[in-house]
Amino acid sequence: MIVPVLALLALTAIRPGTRPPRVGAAFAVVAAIFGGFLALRSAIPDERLWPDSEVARRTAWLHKHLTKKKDWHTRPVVFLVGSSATNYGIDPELMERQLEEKGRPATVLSFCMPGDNHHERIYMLETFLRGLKPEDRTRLARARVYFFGEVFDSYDRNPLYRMEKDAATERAVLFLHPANALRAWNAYEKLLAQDPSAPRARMAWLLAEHALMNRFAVGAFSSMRPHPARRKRTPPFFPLGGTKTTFQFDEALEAFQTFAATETNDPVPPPPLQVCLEHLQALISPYVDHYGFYCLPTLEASRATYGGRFAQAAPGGAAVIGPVLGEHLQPLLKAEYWFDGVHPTGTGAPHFTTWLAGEIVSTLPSSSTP
Amino acid sequence: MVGPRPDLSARAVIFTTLPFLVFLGLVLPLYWLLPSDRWRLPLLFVANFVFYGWWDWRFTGLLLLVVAVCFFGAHGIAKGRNPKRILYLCCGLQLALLGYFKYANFFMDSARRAAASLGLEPTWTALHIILPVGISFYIFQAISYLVSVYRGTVTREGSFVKLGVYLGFFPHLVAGPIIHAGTFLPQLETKRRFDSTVFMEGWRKFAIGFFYKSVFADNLAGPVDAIFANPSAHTPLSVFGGCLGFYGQIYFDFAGYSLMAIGVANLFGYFLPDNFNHPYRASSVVEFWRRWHISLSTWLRDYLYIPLGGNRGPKWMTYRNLFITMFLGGLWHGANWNFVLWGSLHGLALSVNHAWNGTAAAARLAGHRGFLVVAFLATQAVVFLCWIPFRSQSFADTGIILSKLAELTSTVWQASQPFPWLLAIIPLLADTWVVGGAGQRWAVRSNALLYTVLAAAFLIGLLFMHIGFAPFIYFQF
Repeated sequence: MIVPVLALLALTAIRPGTRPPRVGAAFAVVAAIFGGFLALRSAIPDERLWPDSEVARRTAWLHKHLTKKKDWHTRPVVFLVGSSATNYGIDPELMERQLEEKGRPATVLSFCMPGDNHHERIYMLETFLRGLKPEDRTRLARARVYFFGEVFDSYDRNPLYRMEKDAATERAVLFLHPANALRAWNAYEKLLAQDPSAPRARMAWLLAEHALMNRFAVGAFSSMRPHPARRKRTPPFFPLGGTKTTFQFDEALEAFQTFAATETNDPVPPPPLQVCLEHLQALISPYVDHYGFYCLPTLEASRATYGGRFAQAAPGGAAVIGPVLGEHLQPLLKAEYWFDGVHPTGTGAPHFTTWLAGEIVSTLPSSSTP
Repeated sequence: MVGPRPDLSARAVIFTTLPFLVFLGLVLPLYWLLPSDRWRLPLLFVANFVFYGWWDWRFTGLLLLVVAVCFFGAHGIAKGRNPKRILYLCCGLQLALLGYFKYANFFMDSARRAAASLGLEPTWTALHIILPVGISFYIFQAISYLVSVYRGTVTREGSFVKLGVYLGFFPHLVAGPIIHAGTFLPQLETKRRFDSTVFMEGWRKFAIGFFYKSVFADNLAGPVDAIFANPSAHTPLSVFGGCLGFYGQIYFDFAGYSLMAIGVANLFGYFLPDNFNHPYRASSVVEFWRRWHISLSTWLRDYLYIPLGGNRGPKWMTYRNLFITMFLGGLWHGANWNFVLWGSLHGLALSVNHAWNGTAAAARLAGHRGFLVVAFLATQAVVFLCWIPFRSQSFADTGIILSKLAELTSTVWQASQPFPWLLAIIPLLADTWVVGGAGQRWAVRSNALLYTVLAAAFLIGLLFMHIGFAPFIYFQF
């Protein structure tokens, strides 16, 4: 608080000297100070600059959870990387208990935030790995790590899905550091090749603007306002209470059951997703032993259809859990389980978790010791 | 809110965004590289329309129409046989544009409610009208030009380009200050010479405005919005915090914008008049209006209050004129009865203030230090309370907030949500009493220090600024 007030006072008190100021010298001083700042900034990780950001608070929880037990590295580690559907629907701690009951104890880490696209997930994984102590990073590389990515058509098809909505928010400034902005653009170019009507200049501008804001740490201290969860570790599971007021379960179920899928020529997996997965793989390949995907239960037929097509053409022949259809979906078809057609309620979440835990056990290789 | 709101999706018209800085970074060097005003003025003319068209290119036609009406109208006034009729016609056209875009839905909605309360069932519905950003500002400026030409205080501008530069000058196009033609048009007649002192002063003012807006006002906006969105859900202390926050937010927001506009104009070698002079130091409502939104107060005085008769009649007529002026000033702020209430309350307060000034007690107490403190507190309390209907979403919310404030003394002092009290208090105190007080006498003169402070201040501003798109409050007016 006091720093901006002092800066304001300095600005109001300072005046040009007796000789006319030189604009060239002024720009040189500005360039030197800004350049020095950029050099200093590059040495400071984001989680130090934005300790109250959602990603920093969540990764802090994940660090603590991973290293809670001394011998954690002797057990398999499961990475769940997905969207809000996983964040609201899958309780990692419940899943750990269920895996243990099934004789496959593991540590489950959920890297899922509502509304995050693939490159935001990459950013969260980067932050998590960077924040681990060096010895823990070595242990993680030695441990058996299973990666499961959520299949979600909107994010898979459009690497910048929701980007315009989230523009100029703290989360967008954070995840779009220059390298990630470039990666996101690489993936987005695949979408542009498929769909020339997708905005090009507007998105390029947004990415460049955010990369610049990230480098200048714009708003890093704007949390002069008291943060409701200051420096608190945030667990990765948020059960939703009640059903969305605009959601009608019976209508959604009927639409789901009567949906007639039409043949499309859209390639699956979508080319932008393939680029995203390459970026992801480059980051986590030193740690991950097994890759898989999962389609969470849904009442949105087009999403389930996409999941079905994805399961038939999974990249690299990876295992795909789901989509859940027919009699397998039957136990989950209760109105109180669904917040909307994609997200379960707090009542439905344990059932979704149980289902996914069971499927993961059947997918894991029989030997899960390091 | 009943009135239409401008669509602010395009951010180029916001001074604190990268698109504006890129725009400025292109126009400014090009402007100074051009050899003479013969080229510079057309560049500014085009830049004005690019700036405005970035928001919505369709409304560049509206701006062009306003300039054309002024150009040909002034020609008619200066040369025609019946200048008064031409003046009325041109001003009527400008006001009709303002009325259509800003007030059509408001009056239709008000009429519909009135008809419904009489048991009628009106069938008309709201029109889909986009409110052009800054329309109130450039229309007022256009009227001031036409009236000045009619009164003979300003010579008719014979160049369409120069008139377009004056009416559409992009630094003050969308939220003022409203400039009198007599202040700006003469500047277009003399060649702008690059003066590094003026240029650096422009950057300094821009930097101060940037702090006001992006660091202080925008960081207050979130907590204030949360409280005003649902005042009944908050404790009296939190509601008081919200009101205090808005008291600071609106000042920093609008004064910040004005300073940035003045600073940008300085970069191009032009001078705009000050729009704020530490209004929260005022110890009377009359003084407050001499310090707050000075360009609007002056406009209202010159083109409304004085033509209504000013203080040239009996006292009751002066009070009536004050009330009408502030009533319409409230309506100018927005098509909403809350703004009308705000303006009316200020009109009432000004009348009371004038009545008090004429008493023997006022003459006796003038200059008495204890009285000045009481007058200051009373003035700021009036201003504080008047901001409540200005910011509230409805009359009902205004009532809720006032009743919550009345409970402040009788309930437990507990906040219903965290509130940035220090942010709401310290910058305001520093600006009002240090910068606006003793600080005005301080001056450290050093070029090297000026460069360093400017660079460091921009950097600090970036670090502390609010992330997110926060339009200037006055863009909606």
